[in-house]
Amino acid sequence: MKIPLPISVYQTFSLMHKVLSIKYLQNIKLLSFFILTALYLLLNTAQVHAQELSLSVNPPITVINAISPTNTTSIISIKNNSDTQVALQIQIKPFKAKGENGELEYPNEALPILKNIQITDDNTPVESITLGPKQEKNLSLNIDISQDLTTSDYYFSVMFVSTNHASVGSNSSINQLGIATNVLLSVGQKEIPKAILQEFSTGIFFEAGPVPFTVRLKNTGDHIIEPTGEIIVKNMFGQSIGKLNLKEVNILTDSTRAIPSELEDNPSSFKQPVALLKEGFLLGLYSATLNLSLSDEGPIFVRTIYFFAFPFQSIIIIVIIAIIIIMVKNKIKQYANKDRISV
Amino acid sequence: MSNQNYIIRAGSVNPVSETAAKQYSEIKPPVSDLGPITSEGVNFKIRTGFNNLKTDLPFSVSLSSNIVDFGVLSPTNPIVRTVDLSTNALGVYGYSIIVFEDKPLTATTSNSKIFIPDTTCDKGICGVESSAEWINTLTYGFGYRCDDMIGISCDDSFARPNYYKHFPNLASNDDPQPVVSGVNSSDKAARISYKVNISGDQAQGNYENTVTYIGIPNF
Repeated sequence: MKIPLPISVYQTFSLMHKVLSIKYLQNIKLLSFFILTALYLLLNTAQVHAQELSLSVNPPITVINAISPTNTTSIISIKNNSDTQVALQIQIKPFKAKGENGELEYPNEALPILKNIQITDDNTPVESITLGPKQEKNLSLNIDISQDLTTSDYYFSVMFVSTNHASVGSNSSINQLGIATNVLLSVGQKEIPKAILQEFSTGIFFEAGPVPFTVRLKNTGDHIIEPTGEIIVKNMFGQSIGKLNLKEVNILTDSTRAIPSELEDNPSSFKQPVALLKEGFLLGLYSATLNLSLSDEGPIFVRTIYFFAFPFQSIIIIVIIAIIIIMVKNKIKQYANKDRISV
Repeated sequence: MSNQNYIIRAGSVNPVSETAAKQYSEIKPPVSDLGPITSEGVNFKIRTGFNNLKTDLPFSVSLSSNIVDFGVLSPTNPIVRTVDLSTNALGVYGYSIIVFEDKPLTATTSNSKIFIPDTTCDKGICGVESSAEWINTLTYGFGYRCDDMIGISCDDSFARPNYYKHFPNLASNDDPQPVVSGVNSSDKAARISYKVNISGDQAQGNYENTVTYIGIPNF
């Protein structure tokens, strides 16, 4: 009978050493692989984290009237509201009116006075800036209105657009955020404003208020105008029932703008602004008179339109109620007469 | 100038250039905090802000993320990712936010001619201005839509669900288009959904482009 010999202690240690060595070598290889992979990833891709972008600008509009020669300077305040640093490119783009509600568009044209405009940061011209988290910076908008500058209006936006060159390394869209402030520059002597009142209208008949008035004015002059005006609504007895102050809007040269009432901020009329008479109950013939002054020195447009209001629905309800009351009264009378006869 | 850690206050700020400063006659402080603020000098007059609106309210725009990561794209499996766009426009008469892309989603490899085309939606009729329905998983391309979150500001063309447009492409000379607009108001927010769907023929690789949003106050 053969008895198996037990493995010696040395053999056991030797075997364990071999196994451990192989595992150790394998671990080393594995570790090296991970380290190299991590290094490769670190070195070959930019570290990208999704970040919020948030910007503010003030003022949103600057209106400059100037006679050459002069230099004008105004302040533009730009703020990074996010928690991360942002680099902003500064662009100056001419614009023109789009539609009749004060929206604008950027034609593919060069601004003829671009060389006269400079954005400076502490008297140093800048084309880009970097803002730290929550940092706000006041920049100067300098315009050199030299004698050779043509008497005209120039409309342009100063844009601050974030730059983002990060690569995610996968299918992605890189987002950039920008913000603009508008500049309306009039160069030359102020002339008597010229404009055409293209429309002052409302519906002919209303059952009830509110009553929308459309006021559309076309600026045919050489410079921007900012008319002031009101609409006074009177009933058939000549009593004033409503006064609508019109919003003082800028009307660019050779463009038409629909002028809303001062407190009219109805999102539904954003594309087609109207002056709104918010009177609910209306009955009879009404007149609405528009007084629109193009400047302190005039000219003034005065125009009157009429509309009629009759609350059919309310009247029908009143008539039905009246008929019911009369019927009920008659019934009561009939019962009373029957009672008398029976007595 | 300021941030979270410091505020630097200038003792006196001369808002006019050196040349003009010599001629500078008067700066009218605002009677109240309602606009506009006016300043005058020899040969010029400057007004900032809008009539009867607070002048200390800046126009603000925010975008929730600077990256939209679509991850791995697989054929006929549309991927939709979103970013939130918000505005604070109490100090302006109205505003719009225009949007455009620098190019279609284009392969990041050296061959820049390989790209995912901008979508034309299911019936091939949507573009940069007009929207149309895009629900078919066999309709390929890259597009976006806008959904109101707080207030109403998305363009009317997105009123119907699953209606998409594609971003105006600057490389094709498309004009930037407004994605949201509105009257003066605080805290409006909209969700922009980016949708991408590829065909089985689309070459493997990473595709990227840049989408830019610019907030513009009305004049």
